[in-house]
Amino acid sequence: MGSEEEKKPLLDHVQDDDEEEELSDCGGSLACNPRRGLHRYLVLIIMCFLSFGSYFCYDNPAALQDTMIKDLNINESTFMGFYSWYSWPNVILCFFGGFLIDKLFGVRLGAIIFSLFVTVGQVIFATGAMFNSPIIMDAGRFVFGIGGESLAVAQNTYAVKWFQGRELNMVFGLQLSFSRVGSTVNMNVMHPIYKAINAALDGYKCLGVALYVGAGMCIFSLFCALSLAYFDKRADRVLKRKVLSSDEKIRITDVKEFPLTFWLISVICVAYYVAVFPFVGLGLVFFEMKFGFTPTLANSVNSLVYIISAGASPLFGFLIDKSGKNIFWVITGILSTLGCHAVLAFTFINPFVAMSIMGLAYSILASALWPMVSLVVKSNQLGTAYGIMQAIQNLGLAVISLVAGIIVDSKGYLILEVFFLAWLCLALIAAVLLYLVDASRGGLLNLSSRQRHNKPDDLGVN
Amino acid sequence: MASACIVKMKFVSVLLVFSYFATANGRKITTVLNPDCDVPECTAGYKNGSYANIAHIKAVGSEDTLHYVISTIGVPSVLVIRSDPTSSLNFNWTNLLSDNATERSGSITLNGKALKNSFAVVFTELIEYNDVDDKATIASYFHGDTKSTNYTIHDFGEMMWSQVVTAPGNKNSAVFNYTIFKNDSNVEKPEASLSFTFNAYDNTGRQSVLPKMEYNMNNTLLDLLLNNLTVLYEKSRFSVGVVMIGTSQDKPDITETRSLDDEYTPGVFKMFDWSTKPSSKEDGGYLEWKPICYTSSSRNRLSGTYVNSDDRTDGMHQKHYLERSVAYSYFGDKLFSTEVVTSGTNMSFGLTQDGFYVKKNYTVWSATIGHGAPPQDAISILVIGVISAGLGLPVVIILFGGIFVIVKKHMAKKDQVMRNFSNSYSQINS
Repeated sequence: MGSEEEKKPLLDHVQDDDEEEELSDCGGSLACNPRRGLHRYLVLIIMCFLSFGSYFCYDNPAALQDTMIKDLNINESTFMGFYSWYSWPNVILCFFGGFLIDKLFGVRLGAIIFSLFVTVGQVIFATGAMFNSPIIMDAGRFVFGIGGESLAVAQNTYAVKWFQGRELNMVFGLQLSFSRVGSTVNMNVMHPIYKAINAALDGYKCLGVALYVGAGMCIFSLFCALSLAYFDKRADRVLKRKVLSSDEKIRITDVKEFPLTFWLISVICVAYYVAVFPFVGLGLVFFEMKFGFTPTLANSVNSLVYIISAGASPLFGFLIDKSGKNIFWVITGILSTLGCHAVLAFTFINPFVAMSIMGLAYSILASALWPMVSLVVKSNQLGTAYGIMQAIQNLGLAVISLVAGIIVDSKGYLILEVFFLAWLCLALIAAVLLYLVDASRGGLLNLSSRQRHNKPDDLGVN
Repeated sequence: MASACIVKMKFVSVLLVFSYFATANGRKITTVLNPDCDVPECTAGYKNGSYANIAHIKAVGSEDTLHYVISTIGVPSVLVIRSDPTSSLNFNWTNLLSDNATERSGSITLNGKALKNSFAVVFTELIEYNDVDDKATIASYFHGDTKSTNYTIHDFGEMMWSQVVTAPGNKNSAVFNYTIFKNDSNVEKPEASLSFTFNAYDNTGRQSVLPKMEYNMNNTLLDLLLNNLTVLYEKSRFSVGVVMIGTSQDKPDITETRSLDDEYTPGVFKMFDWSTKPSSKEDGGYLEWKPICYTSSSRNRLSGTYVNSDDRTDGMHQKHYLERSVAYSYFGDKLFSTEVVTSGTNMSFGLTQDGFYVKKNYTVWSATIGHGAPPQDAISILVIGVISAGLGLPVVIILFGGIFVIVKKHMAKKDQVMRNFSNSYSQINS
């Protein structure tokens, strides 16, 4: 494998291809030429906003919790229903969403369809509020959920398609950070919007109109899906990306042939995420009571993981792109999180330290873990693979959140922390196994970036 | 490192507790409500409908007897007299209820030998304050501002106490209840209540409900309930003034114990004990509590809110309350002499941003009052088991896995060397 070979195909490709499309006007410029980096980055911006609407609307209920409970005259559990109607169906649904992207829709149509679901779901949700009907609102959240999680799968698939072998880790980090930005913007914007509308309308009517504003964000994301489809199609044409041949039929049973490494990545994913997010969900009381924080302070510590990951994950993604060695980064992330939980459980050290490090560790793990899937699964099955991973993660989060609540109510936070530590140990074992299995198969996942560049043929098992 | 130290200390305390119970004999506990009562105020009530109440819980041991005299006469108080095992108490009800302090003094007398370290806990007043700044502590409103319109003192002495009864299911108990009725279309309906409930046990155990305070034969469990009270302010919170009266010459002091383990009371990592003899707690009396009260009768983690006891005083500015208590009926003027040392605090119920008392209109707080070393929560076998299984197992797996891999790699290397060797050998041979 000399550097000769590395350059050769590219040159040949450009020079020898008679049918090379002439890109005229803007089409040939840096910004619009799919062969150039700048074009990719511009598409990346659209890609990030693809799921902005869904992340914005997902937390609409939380942002308007008090007013929602008052305006609709509902109790706490009906309110929580708005979240369970989203999350529980997605324990299964996003697996099918991912599969449909591979089998039927393709990523372009898939993204558009799921964006439509998101928009329609949010419209139903808002309409339900207009008519003060929690049942219609639940239905809205259900439809919204069908779109939301599968849209995230489509976004991952897009990311791999455009950035594999380039800045993929950074792109995943950036998408993660954008999901946080979406919900943060929502948290800060929805209340002022509600107040502004309140000048003209009262009660649930006001709530309904505020939620229609959320639907506006979804329509914006729908436009992103449409323009992404256009650019992607154009790029396929210009770059002559491989079109899936019809004899490569995808069946749902192909899942059985997914490599062991994929399943290990999924285990790491679920075992790690359940040790972070259910904890954040129960963190407030813990910080108030164990460390004597005021509710305001406790809230800031608790949201540190989100805030830090929003800023740090693109940076770590960039670092991981530069260095390669994804498994090493994953293990680093798990070990640091283990340390943080241990410090929270067994010491009285100020939790600002542990939670900040946990935010960084989470960013490292998320940007290093998700891109690895594209290295072990065929590209025409990526939708299914990401769908499965997302589904397993949703299942884990839903079940473990319930279990964590039960544990803390009956046995307290110390045992809860031990429970999370045990999950992290499981993630660690899976990561070490992943390293061993991968090493026995040539060590593709843990190559440094230089080694990866020297081995372009192995990139993306096409 | 600090954690290891604390865990170690816990183990020591487990041992101490075990050895303590192994040597101490049991106590026989009996309860008499309104003992020796010969006045109508405790059988038919005062003219205004309120009753004069005393519960006498007697815990007879082999070395001493603890007489708990619990009463709402004057102000709610718990007087704990420590005396020889065969001792008994006399109550002169006419003097007990007198308006004249001199007559009240000595209206409760001990037959037998008094032992050291009798003590009393007096609940002096119920303060309702308008927590405009949402600070959740009385300290910022109550002191130094006598003209403040931001608080109101509800005098326990003016409350209409029902006749004392035992709690269902425990004959060694006493419920002091004040019910507020609401006139609803000429039918009086109970609307709100304030109650002090005391439970004594001759064994060691824990409350069946949160905060699961530990009770034993040397203490009595207290529950204070403020149910559905009508508030005077938009942002009302309640605070109870408490004075600890000790006779050990030590100044009663509140000690805070932190713990990593919240298995008994989820979400609570602190315990407070207010010993009358901080220098050697096992000889003194105590009030022990966790800084948590609950805003619903189901007492779950989510309904828990804080109890702030930072507003410390020396208790003596509440002298006029102490003089009305049964502590004065027993100690007399000795209460204000150098033989007795007091300290006080206000227990403020609630936490910033919890929506004030009106959010749930319910507050219940538990504590124990007793003699000897205040019980400390020890890490249970269960927790130790879970920690060793949850963390030990993965460590073992990783350790053995690591050794396995290293050994395997080493073997592979050896094989490789052998193969290289044999390869070169065959090459030579060919």
